[in-house]
Amino acid sequence: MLNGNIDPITFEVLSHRLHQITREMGIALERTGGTVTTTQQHDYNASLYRPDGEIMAAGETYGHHVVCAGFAVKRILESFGKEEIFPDDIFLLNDPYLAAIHNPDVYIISPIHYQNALVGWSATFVHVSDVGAITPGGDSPDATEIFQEGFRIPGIKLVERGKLRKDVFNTITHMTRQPDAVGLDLKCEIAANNVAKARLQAMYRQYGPELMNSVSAEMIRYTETVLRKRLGEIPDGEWRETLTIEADGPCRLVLALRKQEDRLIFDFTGTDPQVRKGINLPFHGTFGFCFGAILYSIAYDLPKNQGVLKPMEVIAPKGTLVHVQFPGPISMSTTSSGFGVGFLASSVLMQMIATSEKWRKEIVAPSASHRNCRHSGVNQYHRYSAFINMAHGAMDGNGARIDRDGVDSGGSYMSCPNVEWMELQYPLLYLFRRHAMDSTGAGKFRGGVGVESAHTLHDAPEGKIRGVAYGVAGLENSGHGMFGGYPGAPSVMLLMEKTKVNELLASNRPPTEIASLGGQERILPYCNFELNESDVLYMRVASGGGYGDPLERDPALVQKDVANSIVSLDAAREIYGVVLQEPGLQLHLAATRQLRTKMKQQEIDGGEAPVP
Amino acid sequence: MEYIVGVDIGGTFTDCVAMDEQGSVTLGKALSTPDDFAVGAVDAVGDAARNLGFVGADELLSATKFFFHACTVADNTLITRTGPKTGLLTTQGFGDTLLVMRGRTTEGLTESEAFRASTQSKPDSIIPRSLIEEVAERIDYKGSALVRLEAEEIARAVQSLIDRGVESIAIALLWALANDTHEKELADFIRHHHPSVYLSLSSEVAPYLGEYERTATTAFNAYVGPKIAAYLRRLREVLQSKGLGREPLVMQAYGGVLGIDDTCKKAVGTIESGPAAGIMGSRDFGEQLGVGNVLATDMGGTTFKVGVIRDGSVEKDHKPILMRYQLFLSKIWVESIGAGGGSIVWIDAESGLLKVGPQGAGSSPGPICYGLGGAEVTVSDADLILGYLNEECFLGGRMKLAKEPALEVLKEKIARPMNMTVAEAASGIYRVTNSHMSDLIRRATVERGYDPREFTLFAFGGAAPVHAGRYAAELGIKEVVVPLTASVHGAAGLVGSDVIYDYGRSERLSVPADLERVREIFTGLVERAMASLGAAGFKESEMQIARSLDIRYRQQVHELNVPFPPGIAELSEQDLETIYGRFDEFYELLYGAGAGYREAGKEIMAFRVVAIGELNKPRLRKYPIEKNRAEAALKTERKAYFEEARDFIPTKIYDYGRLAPGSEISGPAIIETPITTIVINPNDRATMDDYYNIRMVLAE
Amino acid sequence: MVKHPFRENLEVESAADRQWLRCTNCGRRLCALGQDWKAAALRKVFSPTKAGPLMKILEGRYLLEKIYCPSCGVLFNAEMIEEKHEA
Repeated sequence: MLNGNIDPITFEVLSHRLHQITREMGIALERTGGTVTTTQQHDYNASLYRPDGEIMAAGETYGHHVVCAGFAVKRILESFGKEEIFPDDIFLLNDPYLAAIHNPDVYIISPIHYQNALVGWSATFVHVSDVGAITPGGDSPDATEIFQEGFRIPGIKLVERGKLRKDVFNTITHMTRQPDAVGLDLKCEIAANNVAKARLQAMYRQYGPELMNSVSAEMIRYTETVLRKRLGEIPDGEWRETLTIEADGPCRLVLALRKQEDRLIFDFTGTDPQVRKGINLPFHGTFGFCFGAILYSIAYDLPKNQGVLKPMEVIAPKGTLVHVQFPGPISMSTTSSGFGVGFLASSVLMQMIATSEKWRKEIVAPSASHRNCRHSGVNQYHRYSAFINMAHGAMDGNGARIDRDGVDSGGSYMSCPNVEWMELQYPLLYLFRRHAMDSTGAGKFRGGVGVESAHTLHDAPEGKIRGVAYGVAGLENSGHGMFGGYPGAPSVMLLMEKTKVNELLASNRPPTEIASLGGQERILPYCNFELNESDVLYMRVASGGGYGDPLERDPALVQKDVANSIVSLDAAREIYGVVLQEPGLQLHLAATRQLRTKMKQQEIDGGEAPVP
Repeated sequence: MEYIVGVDIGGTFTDCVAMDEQGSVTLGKALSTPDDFAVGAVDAVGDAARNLGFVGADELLSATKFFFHACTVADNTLITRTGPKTGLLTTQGFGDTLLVMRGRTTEGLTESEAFRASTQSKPDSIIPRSLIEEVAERIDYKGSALVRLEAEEIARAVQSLIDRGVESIAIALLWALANDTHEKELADFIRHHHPSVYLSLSSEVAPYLGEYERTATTAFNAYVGPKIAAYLRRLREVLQSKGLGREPLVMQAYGGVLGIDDTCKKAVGTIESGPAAGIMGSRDFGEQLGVGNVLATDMGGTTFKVGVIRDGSVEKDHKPILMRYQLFLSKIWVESIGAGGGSIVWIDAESGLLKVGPQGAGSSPGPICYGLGGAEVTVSDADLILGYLNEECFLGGRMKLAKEPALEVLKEKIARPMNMTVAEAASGIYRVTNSHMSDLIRRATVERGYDPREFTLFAFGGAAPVHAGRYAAELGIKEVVVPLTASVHGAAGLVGSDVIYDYGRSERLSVPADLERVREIFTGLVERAMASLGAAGFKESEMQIARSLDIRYRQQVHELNVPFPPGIAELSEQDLETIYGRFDEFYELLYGAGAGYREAGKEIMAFRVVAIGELNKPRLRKYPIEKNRAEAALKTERKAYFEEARDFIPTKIYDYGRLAPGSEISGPAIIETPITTIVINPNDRATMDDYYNIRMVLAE
Repeated sequence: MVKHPFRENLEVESAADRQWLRCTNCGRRLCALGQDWKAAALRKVFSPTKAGPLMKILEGRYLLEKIYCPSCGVLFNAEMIEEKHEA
């Protein structure tokens, strides 16, 4: 597979080393970053690029940002030209109509020179605390066009030949609600880019430019070649999936994947037109989410670089939700249409690999997930925060696999912060945070269980904080079942106003059941809201979909799920047909067999036919 | 004559080092005895005793002044999941904290494991959900009890766990670090009604911010505690019945020893304490050699470990990852990867690339050349084929190696598919292995802002001296030391131990911090530490106290630990100012000039105190330098493969036992010792120093 | 002759110059590859709560549709579909 001119051992050593650099960049971001998103959720980019902007080594995070930061490098090359790009310069870009996905994801991009020749780039993004949009923190449900969504920079020098341009730095932070926090965000990106530059230059010193350049080109060729070979072995075909996002009415995303020999064509024709709400996705974002889906399914073991993109083509009609035209709003795009595209791409790829004996073991039931809320307001120490990320989506349950259950609270590629950490920083009190019983998609292998949590105000000097509800809105959006497996329970965000939470606490009763809280409930769509004294925000995140027929699940596994409070005794009987008896949850195998046969017969004989 | 004895129990062998009043060192070895590790411990002491000319263990134990011990009972209990039935009491509404972990949890996974969605997992919960009982109570971040814990609730919750048959209980309530009353009330009830149950309280074991890590640490402690307690009490009994007059002292993961009763309270602290002893030993050893910057590398059959000693001090990790859990535990910082002599070599079918590990052949069946039924090519097989290992004289002749079968399999499985000669393939394996090692060392140095070229590398373990010359050279390191005690890394470290207590707590203070509050918190911790040392028999003049703070820029999550100068002089505003400045310096050292952001403001997040009671021990014995006797130690000559020649070339083979201090050897050469093989590459030079160590100087 | 799997319990078979989809469990041919196999299968709909008590929130808007082999009854698929009311 490898080009004959390069020694396979050297290739292995250097490709391993390049990946280490991206890891190290990620550690620098986490250690020096300010927001939960960066430091605890791993929501950032840390990647290396070739001199022309092609991906040299992708970091271990979201695929879509790896791709879009590559576009950002190309935009910088175009707008500045090589003669204006100097060693130790650092650039900033966040324009979603050029390369970024939404304004708060600010790209910091550094050229890397060796002996005065441009040998590569590093690029990072973090979701900065504020961009001066109509809504604090960036995600703006009320915005109807891009002009309300914060500063939008097409590329500017933040550091010139190693010297921070204070005027530029201050201008940017000055446009936000929280200059010190945004300053910290930008500094952490500079730190990670410094690390990347130092390490890549050291590699060039050790191995020489000739070898380095040829190995990084070869890595891309190698990944492309192997991926094309894999695709060639899978039967040709076409697979479809749709998704509806609720945003002042249903918004449909449609995808057909055509696999022809060694090529993948993702065709979004039929997707609804863009809307005047920030759930629209720029084209390069759509492209990036498709890249991510390939990476995690059939390229997880290859050097992660431009080679993954070469066999793929994306058709996304202009003016639709997946190819927004100026000046459509985009501020909530990543977690709505973005995760939507990720779901569609993953779903069609799963259907595709199900036709391959070799690849079907990689199936994971796909998930249209990631509902979340953010707050802003004054904390118990009288300091203002624009961006309090509750990180709910980091506790989604994951989809079932062909031979095992999904990961419980496995998170959609993110990690969650501690409750204590949140309560120390912000004027909040969690009432509970736990696995939601009976939420997993049933199946021969069940989906991972998702988390339910509730929080109220605590020591908030203003008696209120603001909130934003975003993500993939719509009740059917959770884990999807595969091949007979049931979907996970719908993810819901519930604002409960004027509850009895404080009375319960005053009478020394822990308010850990929502049924006991009273108050007025409403399901939150994409919206701004306020959390006032005695209000409670309840959130149940997505749970993973199941795989295969629940009636074929090993009864001993159901017994274990009941013991672990993941499945209730009733659900064990009604969904899985498993007969367990207290005390000790004894498993009755003969009764289980009988019940299962009876249930199957009743379904086939008794169920109604669908309305055509 | 009095002795200091160190016994380190490993997976296969139990090692003993006995040092006399002159600092002369005698080694002993015995097989480990997992059914009752105390048996192997006494056997190893017996072996050392016989090497000293005693009849048996009793004679040596009766003459022992200090007995130091490192054991793997906690590690084994966790790996094999053979702890007792353990329950957890936690705050109502938060019973799944231990299972949710951090949502997506990739800590402890390799790159492709982290990317592969179809096989990702979390570890099975250390305490099953069915043994986690929620308690009606709630404390807030200020320590106020929003829901008070009532007496009936205590009785109900405890009884419900007792009814399920638990023998050990972890108590981890939200915000117990701010107010431990509820944890104490539960513990008092259990002590009173169920005195045989082992107790582990989060407010005692890990009083730090972050309920997941704190709960996990408390649960680990409850899980390993009963076995550690039973083992150590039995060991004490056995040793004392054989004449030991003193309390055995047990190594902790942070590098100091404690008495048995203190160890039992925080049993989780003994996890990975053997490697910690090794690093501490390397520090002392470096000090005697006059080397302040040391990279202590240890390569055995299955793992490769690196520890860093910088300016004579070891580094600690306060949030280590163990068994994929993140814990709050002071631990000597050690990086490790699953790569060693037994790592299996394979070719990735699709890419045709050569891969080494992470799967290993273990000690049984082991490498093909061991002749114990191994059928997969390993790193040791390649080392043998390259001529580095001696077929006839492995481990001082205790084991014969079979080259032919290794050669055949390597040819079939590796060389032919890769279209290489056998020599090219074996040398490729050697190179890839060395690059894994140097990558890990790079992670331990470069990534943390240190230049590896400023360090001396120590090579411990059976396999390290075969590879060290190369992986050190790749990083520009100039000197490699193979110590006399290379094969008993942990035990050799033990004999230099001191009694160390490690205390700390979380509290958030905005900078500039209130000086009175800082003093108050430190005073509490220092008093506790000094009382513990006092109870262990130390006078105030023998105590060393070191204080440090975990600081971060406001709104960050991760802190940097910044030390004060040693001592307990009352802190001044000026001391605090100095510390804040050092934080900025450390920060820029790690993340590059300009990365610090003072404008954001700073916060103190945790207070830490380390209290050392220094034990009076002799220094290692120094021997006179003689004239070069290398010629007399020359055994033979055989062909070994060296990259420089791209071929097998004649190589002189020396017998370590016949070398004397002052002997000099030029590469290419090989020195065979009873425990390892030292490869000296072309252009490198080696000398034996006045401690019987082999010191290699690498060519530029 | 079996060519390759299609999804759980369905596979692609080559016979008489055509490719068919058939049930892996009982061998029943559903349709030619590329045609709508769901139309040729047995389809039933149920209340969404059949998939669990937390699905109650979907009642009135969604139904759980399950698709079986018309011969042996083995399960091919299950998903929530929007409820359509007869005009």
